[in-house]
Amino acid sequence: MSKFAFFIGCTIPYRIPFVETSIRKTFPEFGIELMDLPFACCPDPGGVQGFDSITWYTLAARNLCLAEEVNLNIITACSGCFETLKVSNTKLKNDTRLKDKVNEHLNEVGREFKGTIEVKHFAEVLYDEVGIDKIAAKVQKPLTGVRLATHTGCHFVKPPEILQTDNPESPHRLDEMVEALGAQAVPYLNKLMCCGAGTRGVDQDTAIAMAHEKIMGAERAKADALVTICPTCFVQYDVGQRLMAKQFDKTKLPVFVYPELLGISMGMDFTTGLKMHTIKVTPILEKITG
Amino acid sequence: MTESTELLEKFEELLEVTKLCYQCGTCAGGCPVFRQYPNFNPRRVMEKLLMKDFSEQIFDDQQIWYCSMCYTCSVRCPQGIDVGHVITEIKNLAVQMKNAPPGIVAELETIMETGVTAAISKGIMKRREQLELPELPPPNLDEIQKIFEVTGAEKYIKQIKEETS
Ligand code: SF4
Ligand code: SF4
Repeated sequence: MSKFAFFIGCTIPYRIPFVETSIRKTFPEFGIELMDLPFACCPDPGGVQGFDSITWYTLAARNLCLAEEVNLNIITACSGCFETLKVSNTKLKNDTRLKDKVNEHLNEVGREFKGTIEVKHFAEVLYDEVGIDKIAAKVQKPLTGVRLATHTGCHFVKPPEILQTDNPESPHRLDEMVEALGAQAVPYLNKLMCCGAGTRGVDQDTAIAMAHEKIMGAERAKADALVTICPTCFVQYDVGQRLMAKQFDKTKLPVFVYPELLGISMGMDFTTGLKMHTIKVTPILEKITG
Repeated sequence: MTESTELLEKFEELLEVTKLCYQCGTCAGGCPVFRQYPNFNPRRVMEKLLMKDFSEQIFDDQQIWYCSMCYTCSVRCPQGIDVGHVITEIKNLAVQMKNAPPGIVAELETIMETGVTAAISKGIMKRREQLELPELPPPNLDEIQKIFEVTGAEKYIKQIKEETS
């Protein structure tokens, strides 16, 4: 059993809580215990870092301190949180000047960053610590014949020199992870393309047009669904398709976050949560359950 | 050190990094924003820095905020320039010069006031109930607000709002 401080973030619990269900249900099956702590926003690597880097580092360090206090490594449920926390943790461990400055601010709230823990993304824990074989061994309802377009997303892999999870120009881990469930990871145009969420704060239409390119790529490859490991990308693609319909032809490509597909293939019943998706997922469920 | 000399120092640092840029355009070629919105062009941002031309697209309007922070440019730049990071630094400087889009300022304010970015609506709490999800331990707002105060973020938010009101 390995135990982690569970960094759930803001998007999952307060926008797409059904993803939280899928993580809370599946991870203990692999011997992973999740502990909730009074974390705040990671904070957002785009908006907050862009606004003021020192504020970004300090708020991130405050979260890291909470996990340090209970001596647990962090597992993040969101790639944005992963980037913020891992980049901050790594830079603060290696840059004394930055650490001193951040600790000066943290001192005002009675905290100190020490640098005693690690930060991991849930997909990293599944791939590295659980492993593809153990994932495959848990599958009861294989996703045979299901064609999936995998979207690894930006904040899981970049900046690569710090995050060190997968090849940023040719990611393969998520492909292997969906294949472990019996599905087929299909090659498609714009596989590396960013979901566009980072541009939402200034121009919604451009952000949605970016997400639309990905949906088109997946549709042309005749994918049954798109799968992500980031809730922000999920929102861009799932809720986003409704917004896309204002600029482009209507699409109905189901979108999942990996732990949902993992749970479904393990025989779990996620009906309540799956009904909360914007794009109906019933066609693909029928394909799985036959 | 006064605030303006600190700003100048940051400028110099940025210009130093930019010197390696030979304007090949690889950054723009891979930029997912540029594909959809050609007014935002990372190569042009670098060019402006090289030319020390701060008249447009750098600090005084909101183009720079189109960058989605995907870091494709940083991974691909043949000169090893962390272009995405350069753009982040420009955004930071723009904020100190009282420029940021309302959407970003609103996000910062929400975090300062609630500790999270999302609005916690009744509807969402009902969904959490239906899904039988546990209550989450609430963040310590006093600490969050204190951090906004001591880092200066609260002051920047105020300044920008005054500027635009
Ligand atoms: S890729 Fe690098 S060298 Fe080429 S234009 Fe962009 S910043 Fe300059
Ligand atoms: S980090 Fe910004 S400038 Fe660079 S490729 Fe991504 S969106 Fe374009």
